[in-house]
Amino acid sequence: MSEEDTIKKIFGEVIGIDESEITDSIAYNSYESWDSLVHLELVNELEDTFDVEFEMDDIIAMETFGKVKEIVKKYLS
Amino acid sequence: MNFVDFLFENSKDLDKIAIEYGDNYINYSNLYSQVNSLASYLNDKYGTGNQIMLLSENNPFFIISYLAILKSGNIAVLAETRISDHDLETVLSNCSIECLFTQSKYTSKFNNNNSVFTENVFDGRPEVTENCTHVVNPNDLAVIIFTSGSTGAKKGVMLSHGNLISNTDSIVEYLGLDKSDKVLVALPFFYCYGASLLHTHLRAGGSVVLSNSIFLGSVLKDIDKYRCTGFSGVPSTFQILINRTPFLEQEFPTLRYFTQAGGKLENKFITRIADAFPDKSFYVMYGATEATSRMSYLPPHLIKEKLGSIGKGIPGVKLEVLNSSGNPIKPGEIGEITAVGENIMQGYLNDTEGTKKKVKNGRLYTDDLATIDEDGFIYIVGRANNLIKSAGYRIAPNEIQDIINGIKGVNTSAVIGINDDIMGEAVTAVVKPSDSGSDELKKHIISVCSKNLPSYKVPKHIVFMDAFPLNSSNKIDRIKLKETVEENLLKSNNPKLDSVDEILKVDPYSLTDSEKEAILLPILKEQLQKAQNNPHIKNFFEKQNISVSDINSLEDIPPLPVQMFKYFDLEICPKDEVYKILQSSGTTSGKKSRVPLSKTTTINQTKALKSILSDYLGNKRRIFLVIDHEGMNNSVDTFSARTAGIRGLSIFSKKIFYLLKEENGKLVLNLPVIKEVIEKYADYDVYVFGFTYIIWSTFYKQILDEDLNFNFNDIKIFHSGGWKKLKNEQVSKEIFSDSIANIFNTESKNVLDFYGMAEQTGIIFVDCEYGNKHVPAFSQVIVRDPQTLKTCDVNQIGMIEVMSVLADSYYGQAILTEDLGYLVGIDNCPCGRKGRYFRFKSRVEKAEVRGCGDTFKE
Repeated sequence: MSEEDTIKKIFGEVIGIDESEITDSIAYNSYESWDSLVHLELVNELEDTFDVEFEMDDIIAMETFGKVKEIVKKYLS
Repeated sequence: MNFVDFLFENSKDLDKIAIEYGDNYINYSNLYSQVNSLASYLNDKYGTGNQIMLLSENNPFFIISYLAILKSGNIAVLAETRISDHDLETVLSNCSIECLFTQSKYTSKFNNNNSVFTENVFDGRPEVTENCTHVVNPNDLAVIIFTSGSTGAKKGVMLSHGNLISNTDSIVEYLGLDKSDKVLVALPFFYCYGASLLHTHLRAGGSVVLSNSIFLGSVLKDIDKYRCTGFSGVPSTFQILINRTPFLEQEFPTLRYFTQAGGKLENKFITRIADAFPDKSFYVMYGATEATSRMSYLPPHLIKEKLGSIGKGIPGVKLEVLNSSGNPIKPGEIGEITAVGENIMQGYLNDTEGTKKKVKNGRLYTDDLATIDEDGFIYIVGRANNLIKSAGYRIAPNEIQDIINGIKGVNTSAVIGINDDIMGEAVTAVVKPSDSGSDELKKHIISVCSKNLPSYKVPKHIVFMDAFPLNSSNKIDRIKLKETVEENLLKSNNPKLDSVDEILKVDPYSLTDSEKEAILLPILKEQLQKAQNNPHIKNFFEKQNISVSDINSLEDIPPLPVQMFKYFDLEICPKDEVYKILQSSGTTSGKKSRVPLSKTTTINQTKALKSILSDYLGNKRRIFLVIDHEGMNNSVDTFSARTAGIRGLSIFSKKIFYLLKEENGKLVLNLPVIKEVIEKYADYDVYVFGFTYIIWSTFYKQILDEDLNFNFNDIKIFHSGGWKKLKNEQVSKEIFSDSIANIFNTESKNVLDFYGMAEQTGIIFVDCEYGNKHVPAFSQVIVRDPQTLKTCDVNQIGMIEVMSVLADSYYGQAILTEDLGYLVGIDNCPCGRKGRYFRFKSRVEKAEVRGCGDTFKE
């Protein structure tokens, strides 16, 4: 599975959304269930899966699914 | 008694070092014999009562000449070695100088009319066995020290033998000086503070080490090399040492004390020194040449408790702060510091008028404005005159202004001192140009000043301004001018602090109150302008006759009573930007607050919380222990203060653990989770959040029965809310902190109460280690009288108003809470955080603000 697919899978599971409905513009807090606590769950899952540790500012910057992908990739490169 | 005989009363025959310099020294008997010999010569040649000028750096030449002049019954006239030719001329014409003593390198400053003695004056001088003292009356003059008066003209302060004896005695007594003391002197003897070091140590039989390096940093080595017990400095001495050298990391094993006088050392520096050297005494002192040198000191053990105070009068000095009718002020009022004692000068040389203004009925009027606290400790708040204190020099603005005003292209100028971390105050010329200010003009002004003034008087900043703020008598309002210039300089140093995004990036407690006022006001006004689109808000402004453009200060912004969130729709952004209405059940009545949130608001809130928490937690995420049950989070639509706290603080968490669970509708310890945390995360950094009342009534009371041992590497426990119930149980904040700290095996200072509300999510006001709640950069707190809504003074209890720039989706700009509290101070909390700090008192019994409800309804 590509990195992007893995991110999408984790995102879908944590947020509770079908992968087919995920777009880059889905935004933190605008999507009903993506709230602060779910956000942390997402961060933890991503960190565990990719064995990285995000900076605080990056966690805050993960405002949309697009940003999530971009930031995770930054850590993997 | 002659002052010099008094100094040597117990020591003139001692074979003990009196003066050390470089690798050389002079012992007492030798020093005394040289002084005696020169005094005898002066007596023979000139008799007594003559004015003899002494212009020299700190060296044996100064000390011996000085003491000999006094001992011979003549009068030493002192001035600074960097005196300008113009000032020196004034001094000489004002005095009748019989002869002068100066280092050979300065002889060119004088014309040939006077007999000049230089360093070789001692060569071949015969030893005189007979004690050559001219006995004097206490009121006979001993020394005239030239110092800058407020007008810039040098004034000669006349001090008698009695003045010197009495002040020396007092200082020796309160500093507890004795034979074992040795002070490192980096202050010039021609100013009274430096002279007092020489006097007191000779009297006590101790010794004086002359620090000769032009690099102040060398004192670090010298204190150890010479095994000094004392070190003295003016504010800039300590500021330079702290900012430019590893001063605070030193151990100084021999050092017993520091003294500081000569102006106000900022509290943050005092705190840092006191913290770095807990086993040494730090004496904050206050004085004036007109009072020989010293008038007050703050006993070192009170340095933190009375931070920023100059203490009380020294032994023998009655120091009083008087109001304009001449009566002692009450705590909190402001008056002028006055002093009565045997140390008060005889007057200014040839200036009866000036003397009369300064000394009335033996009482010295200092021009320093001060307030006192309940215990009578004095705090200086400002100067009645405009002297600039820079790098230990006292600089009057007039002389510099005169020079600048004479430059082509300059209309007029005002020279002021603005706060500077290194210099104390930095000389700053505010210039009104004839047509326009250019960089060339700036350069030209600096170059003209450099040619005509000693370097310490040359302006560090040149600021162009087209109009000066004026006071009621049409004179330049220097206080206002100083504030404006400081704000402008701050803006030019932080050019981008003009948006919410930029404010969220700065250290949340780095801005002073006036800086915040300047930065927040334009941003808030812009937000308020947009808020007028909401008809309720528009009405709220109109009915109070307030127009956004007329708002000139944060205080002018009308605070919205927090209850209004229950009754009105308060969104101020386009409807489609609101993605969620936060419903808060936080308040006591049944109705819920409705807070419309946009994406921008939420992101700002998150960044704000991160910024605040970073100040307490650093930048690493931690294990988050919640003293509540997980089910708290299930209610999606309604937030209580408890859920809001968990969600808000969770941004710092790596992993969350809920230490309580719900069982049959009751909260109990979640023991399996607690044990897992203890096992897995011992030695980790953690942070804890819980509702104050739940921590106490459930967690604390139940955990006492368990045999559990928490042992984390670092822990911070945040808690909030429910104090009323705890007060009913007679649990004070101190008892709470101590007990909870004990459970977590940590110190009470790590238990942090905070204040916050759902309507201002993103801002929590967290206790510092001194128990004060601090206001971060992006918000402001105003305390208002519940009846009149007027702003309360410091320490006056009123309703807490919370202002914020975070929300673009609802009226969060100024919210009047239902809570009572009081400001403790501004910019000067001993923890070092800038801005306002306050304490929460209680909820308003029956929250109702007069008038607001009526004006609000459309």
